Amino acid sequence: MQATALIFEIGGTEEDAFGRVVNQREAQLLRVAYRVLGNWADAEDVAQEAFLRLHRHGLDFASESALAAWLYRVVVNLCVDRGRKARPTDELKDLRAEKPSAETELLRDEQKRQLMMALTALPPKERAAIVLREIEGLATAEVAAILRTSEVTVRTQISRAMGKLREMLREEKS
Amino acid sequence: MTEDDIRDLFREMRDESVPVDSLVRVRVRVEDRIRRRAPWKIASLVTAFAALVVVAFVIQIHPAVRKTASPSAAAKHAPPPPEVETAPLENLPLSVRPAIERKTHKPPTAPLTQPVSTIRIETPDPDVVILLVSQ
Repeated sequence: MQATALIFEIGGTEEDAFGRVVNQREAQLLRVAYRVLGNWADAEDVAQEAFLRLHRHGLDFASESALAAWLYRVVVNLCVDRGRKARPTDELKDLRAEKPSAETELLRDEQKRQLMMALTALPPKERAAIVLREIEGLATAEVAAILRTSEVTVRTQISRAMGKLREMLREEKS
Repeated sequence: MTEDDIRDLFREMRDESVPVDSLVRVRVRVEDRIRRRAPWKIASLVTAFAALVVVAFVIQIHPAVRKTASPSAAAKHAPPPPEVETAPLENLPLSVRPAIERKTHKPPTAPLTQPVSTIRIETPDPDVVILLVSQ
């Protein structure tokens, strides 16, 4: 459904449509920002700023996917502009369950924690490409559109990033 | 760890839920900022409109911008010169003050022994004034 069609629902206003977009996209944007930045506080700031920019921009998009791409792009740019390495501080303890769990789950949580630490050590653009493609599950073409680059560049960035992650996780294990 | 293992972990991370308090905080802050912005937006529009009205008003009343009447029109609307029976102009002493001297009034150098009456006639040319002096 086109985003602009949201406005013309019976009894709908632009504010109502904006509220619906926030509800639909909020978790996604927070997750992407968290994976790129490594902490929830910064991720919340970025998500908030992205929605405020959307409100200023308006909901005039050709399609739902164009709106999604625009939001992702804003989030990624805001994350990159933060200009510092992600701070995977205490938030990574969220990966551990609060109550005691089976050994395999603990091991899995530990692996995710290590992967997250390794992810935050990547350069911002490689990190963004990996997060959008591998965690958010977007197609290479969509990632290229969001990052305003070519599909070849995206594949190269992901390939390079995966190699670095493997290397870092191997060092962590040893 | 192989690339496939890493991709499996990524897929699991995709399914992890976002903390509810983060969701709530973002939503509340966004709504608050939008609500706070609205009055400022209206205020700035009203201020801009008021400024335009003031500028238009000032332009209207400023004398430098007012259209001055053309000389021919001024002549038509100028009060008729006072009717004075005088001799032809060539027989009367006239002092035509040039524009520069018009601004500085020079008192008469010689004391006047007899009372003198002067008639000042303004011409359509603002720089030229006819002064009739009768002794």
